[in-house]
Amino acid sequence: MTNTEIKSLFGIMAEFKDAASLAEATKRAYAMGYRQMDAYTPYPVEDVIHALGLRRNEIPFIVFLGGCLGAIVGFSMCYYFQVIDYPLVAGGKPLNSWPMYIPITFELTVLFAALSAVFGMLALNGFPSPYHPVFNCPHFERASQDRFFLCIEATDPLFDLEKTKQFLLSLKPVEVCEVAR
Amino acid sequence: MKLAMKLHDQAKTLGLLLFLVILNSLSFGATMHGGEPSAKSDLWVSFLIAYVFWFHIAAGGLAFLMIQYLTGGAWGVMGRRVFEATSSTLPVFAILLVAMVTFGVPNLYEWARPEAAHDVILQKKSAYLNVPAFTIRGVIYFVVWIALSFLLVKLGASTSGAESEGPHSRKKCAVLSGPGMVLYGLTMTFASIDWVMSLEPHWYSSLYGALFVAGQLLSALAFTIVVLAVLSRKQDIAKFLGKRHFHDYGKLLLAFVMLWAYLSFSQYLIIWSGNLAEEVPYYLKRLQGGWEKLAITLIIAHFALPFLILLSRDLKRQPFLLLLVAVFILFMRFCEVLFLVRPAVTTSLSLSALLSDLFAVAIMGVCWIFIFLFIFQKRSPLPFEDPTFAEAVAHGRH
Repeated sequence: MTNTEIKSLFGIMAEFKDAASLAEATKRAYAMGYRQMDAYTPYPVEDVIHALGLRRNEIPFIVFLGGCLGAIVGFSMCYYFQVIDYPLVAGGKPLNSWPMYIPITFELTVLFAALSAVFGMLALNGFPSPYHPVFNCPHFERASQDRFFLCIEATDPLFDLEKTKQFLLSLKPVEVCEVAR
Repeated sequence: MKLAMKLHDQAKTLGLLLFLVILNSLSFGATMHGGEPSAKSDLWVSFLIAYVFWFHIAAGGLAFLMIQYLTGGAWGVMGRRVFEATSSTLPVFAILLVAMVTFGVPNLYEWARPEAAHDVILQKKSAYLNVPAFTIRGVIYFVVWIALSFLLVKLGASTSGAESEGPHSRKKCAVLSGPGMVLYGLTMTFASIDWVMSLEPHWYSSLYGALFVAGQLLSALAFTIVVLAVLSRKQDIAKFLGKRHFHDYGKLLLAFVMLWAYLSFSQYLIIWSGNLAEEVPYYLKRLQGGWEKLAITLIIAHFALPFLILLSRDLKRQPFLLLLVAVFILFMRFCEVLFLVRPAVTTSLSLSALLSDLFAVAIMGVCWIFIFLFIFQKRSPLPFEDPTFAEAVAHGRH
């Protein structure tokens, strides 16, 4: 096996029939020391998420920043309109009637937080991504139907074409395939 | 023999409870007997603040007892015994209400004083705001609440134990809880109008009942977190209470902090922007004479601070830290009750009034907590026998 062969490989993918065997396989792979791996399932499987040893991501922080930004934008927008751009006394109240700004500030906080959650998630997932190697595996489309996949990626320090393949085969998958880059 | 023992036990409990309640009423009665009318009214205000503060925890417990039967979920199973015990203390508040109706009403409420006869607006409102109607409504509220808590505790006990009816009985609890929540919402709205809103009988707000209920649920939730966090420090209970249970309670606490702030601010915004002569005096009173400091404190410490702190996931999963936040929120609940009640009679923030209120809350609190613990300790702190208990424990593991 040459270096170029490994370089042209994304990883090795095993296909399972049900969520339980995927969870078991993921646990065993994690115990073997594999970390650069990912699971593909038709629906979220909690056991698999835990078995992958996924760390917490940056989404909450992104959402918090988005919310703060929304609050600042909402409040300063109101202030700019009411006090600077078009000062108009209404109901005998002062120009800077901040209680009136709160509903808009609140709404924009929620809006910005929600949008930053969606776009933050997409960005962290590497979207938009017109090409992804996992689709080189035959019947991978069944990952969104009725099959459960585990892919150990070539970037893992423990990755070895033969050994990893043997290991995955020992987990009794339906099929194992090499995923080209 | 067993029955006799049981009866004896119950009689002892009842006797003890009565003793505590009478002691409680007497200590207030003694301080309120004689003295100037204004001082007397002041003390009754302290009584009302203490009453509302502790009542929130008991009645909120009843609401959560019904909510957890309706929604299900591991958090509800873990907190059920606390909800049952707090709502079982409601009869104490019925007895205290009797004391209030007998001695306190004219001292507290402008509409119950003879001067009300010369007030045109109060005359028009007198069909609702009069002592007999106040009393009858009070009786109705407590009949509803005590009946609900009694039935739910009794039916809840038969989901488990020797004479187990299992899931069947649990279903009965849920069936009772649906209409129970409707009744709770209606009666609590009227109770808030009777007991607190009518302190300023010229003023009204249609949001008041919801605000009262939101605060009540927040109080009960914070108290439940305190009890569960203390329990989780016990060796034999700790293995059942997982981090995720506290995480769930922390999330609920955050939600109710936000709900309270949302409703409080909505009421303020509507009245402030409407700027009507019959509505604004309520806030004018509360934005001068030192009360504005309390108002700002509420915005910062009842909303902003707990909101930001509770955003942290790690904090919500630490029972001890969550306990500290819950205790702080309970203190802020006292401040909010103070803010709703005190400025109605006292025009400027005074240390003596504040101390008297704190003292009243402390006295009633000692008695109430004693009664609560007495009821709580009679049964297992968690519903071990519940058919869904194992599942609820497993939920807390992650």
